[in-house]
Amino acid sequence: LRAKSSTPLRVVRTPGTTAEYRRRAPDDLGFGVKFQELDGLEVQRRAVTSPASFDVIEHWSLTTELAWTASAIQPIDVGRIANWSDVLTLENSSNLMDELKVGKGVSPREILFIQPDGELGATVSPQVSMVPTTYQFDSFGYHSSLRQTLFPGEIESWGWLLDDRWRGLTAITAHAPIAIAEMALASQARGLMTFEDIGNLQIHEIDQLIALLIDYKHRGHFRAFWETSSQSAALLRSGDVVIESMWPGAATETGASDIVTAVPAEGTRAWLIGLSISSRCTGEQLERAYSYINWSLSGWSGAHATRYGLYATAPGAMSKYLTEDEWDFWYCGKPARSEIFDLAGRKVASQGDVRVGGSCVRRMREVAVWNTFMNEYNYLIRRWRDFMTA
Amino acid sequence: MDTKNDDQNRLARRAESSKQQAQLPLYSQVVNGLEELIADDVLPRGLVLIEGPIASYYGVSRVPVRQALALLAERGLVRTFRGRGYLVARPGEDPAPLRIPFRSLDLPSRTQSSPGRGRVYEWQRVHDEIADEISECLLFGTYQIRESSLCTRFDISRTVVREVLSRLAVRGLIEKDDRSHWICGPFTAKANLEQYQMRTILELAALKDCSESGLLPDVGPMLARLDETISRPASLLPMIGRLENDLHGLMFDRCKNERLKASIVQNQLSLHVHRMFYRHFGPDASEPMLREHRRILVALYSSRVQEALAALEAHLAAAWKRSQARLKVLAVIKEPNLPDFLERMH
Repeated sequence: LRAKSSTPLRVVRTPGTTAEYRRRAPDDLGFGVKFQELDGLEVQRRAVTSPASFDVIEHWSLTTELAWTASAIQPIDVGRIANWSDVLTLENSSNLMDELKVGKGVSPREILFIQPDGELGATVSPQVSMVPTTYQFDSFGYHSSLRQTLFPGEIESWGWLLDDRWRGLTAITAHAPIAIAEMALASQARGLMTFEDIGNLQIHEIDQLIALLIDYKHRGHFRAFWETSSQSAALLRSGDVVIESMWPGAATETGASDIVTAVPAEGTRAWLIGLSISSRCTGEQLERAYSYINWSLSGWSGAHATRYGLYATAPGAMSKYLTEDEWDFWYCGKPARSEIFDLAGRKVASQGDVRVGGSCVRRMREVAVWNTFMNEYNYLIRRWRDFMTA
Repeated sequence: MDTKNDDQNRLARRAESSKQQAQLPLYSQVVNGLEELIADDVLPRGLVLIEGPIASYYGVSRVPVRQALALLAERGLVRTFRGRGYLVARPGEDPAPLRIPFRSLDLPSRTQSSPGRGRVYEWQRVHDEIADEISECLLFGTYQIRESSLCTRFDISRTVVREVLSRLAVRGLIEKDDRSHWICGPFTAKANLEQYQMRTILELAALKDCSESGLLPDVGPMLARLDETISRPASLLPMIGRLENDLHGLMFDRCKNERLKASIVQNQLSLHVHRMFYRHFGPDASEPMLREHRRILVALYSSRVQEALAALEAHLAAAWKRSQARLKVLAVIKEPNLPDFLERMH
């Protein structure tokens, strides 16, 4: 056993670090790891303004762009990432990097590779701004009783979130950038608005969308605006709400089998998380930062995230930690051959069940929009405040 | 006879130099004034210089004084020390701080030493400071400007406040809303794009015009300043505003088309994005703006005007891209403390 040094590696990430993860990382690595969990917006601010306060940061791909502009993170040499070629694999022969281009908004691929001019771009290069670790495709959830009010043959659509049939029974998230993207998808699906680029709204489009939403709000359409995944789960469980924007995890958290995760015809709202190294990290800490990143891709961590309901990169390494049945269910969209359990030991599938949305490759190809900092983000959050207080 | 002639010549030279001074930006006038006072030992070694009294002596706001002191530090005439302000000291000297009220020094009467404007109008004294505080908040929302608070804060009349505000409106910093209230912000990505598009049209036209009419300034000193700054990265922050002003302001100073000149000034709000970014994240030696400016100045220095025009166009395109990225970053940082004359609307 190597002696644990007095300065642990400082890792900042969003909530969801299990006790097992906290224990496992330092044990496997042979040095101390200090995890600090911050809410999404705080991670963002930290990544941009306080690079001296962390060594490694696990953040959304959209924040990478900002952190890079602010010189808060340093280039990661992919030659030092043992499983880099595996990170790029999606499933069998499919290449993650190619599929990442699907969907509007700033796709993670566009901010991944460091270009010769020092800017971030999509062209493959030996240095990256972040090492992708996990990703997911979000949509909305609804109570199965809602199906009784559907028209024959009606298919799931983002438009349902702005559908008068569920006036007063609808909830959306209070997170401005995410809610705006979902409401844009909903208003477009209902034919209420069109957008030049739904991944990068213009000032007049933001104004028009906010006016529309204020009108809906005044008509009593929204029952609630939730802040956390647990709140959203409670809303559906209580029956106060029958349809709402929903993040993965909330569906299982309800503990109810009658909550349906939708696969909207228009596609999903996708996001990707990865690891970046602080621009201030040097010497021994830098070596450890690389070790931590390599550890994150070495299989155990990915399998852990998979059972948490996320998709993890570097699938090859996970084969040691996931059964073939689990792999086929979680990633390949095949019917479960036996019962499948999540991280908390809750049953998520019975024999014959198929994961919502099908295979990972298929879901990747059906992304409508990536979580993005639109160019008018600053204006957007101010107008969103107008809506919240209207 | 001879003495009289000498006197007359000297007076004539002074009047001429006074006229030239008046063309200079306020901070340059302060720099020249202080330089002279240091050379004449009116400001003794070790004297502690602070912004307020100097500003009041020259009848300007503290903003140009701050810039002037940073520049003098650059030139090795003053330097920072453990206390507030600057010390009059040459490099290597370590005199004990000398705290004497500025006004009690043997200063020449203002009309002589503030070579420059015979009269500094009331609005000029506060204009830059108000502009500075507004631009600091511009990115963070929409604000209404309270005239009465400005009167109290700067101890000036409504007439002076209105004079300042109408001048800020000409620069595009503030505007009137439907109810005739003065408002500012938010500076959007759309406004930023439109300003860069306008700047590309206007600044290229002005550069072409000035070079064709032989009205370009001497770019030698500009290039020297730029190279000096590049060689000393620590001086980047205090100098960067001046470097921007060299290329995007002074360069067109002699342009005969007054409307073109005025339009250029009106479309330079985008420079605030970079300024705010540097203030929060600091410019570093790899700041691309430095190389881009250099390419333009070097081309002009060797009279390669076509090359300079192409380089200016490329610079504005690249600067726009950087400003869009920087604008997003600034949306994440915490809003600065609002001055009491700004009231948040949304």
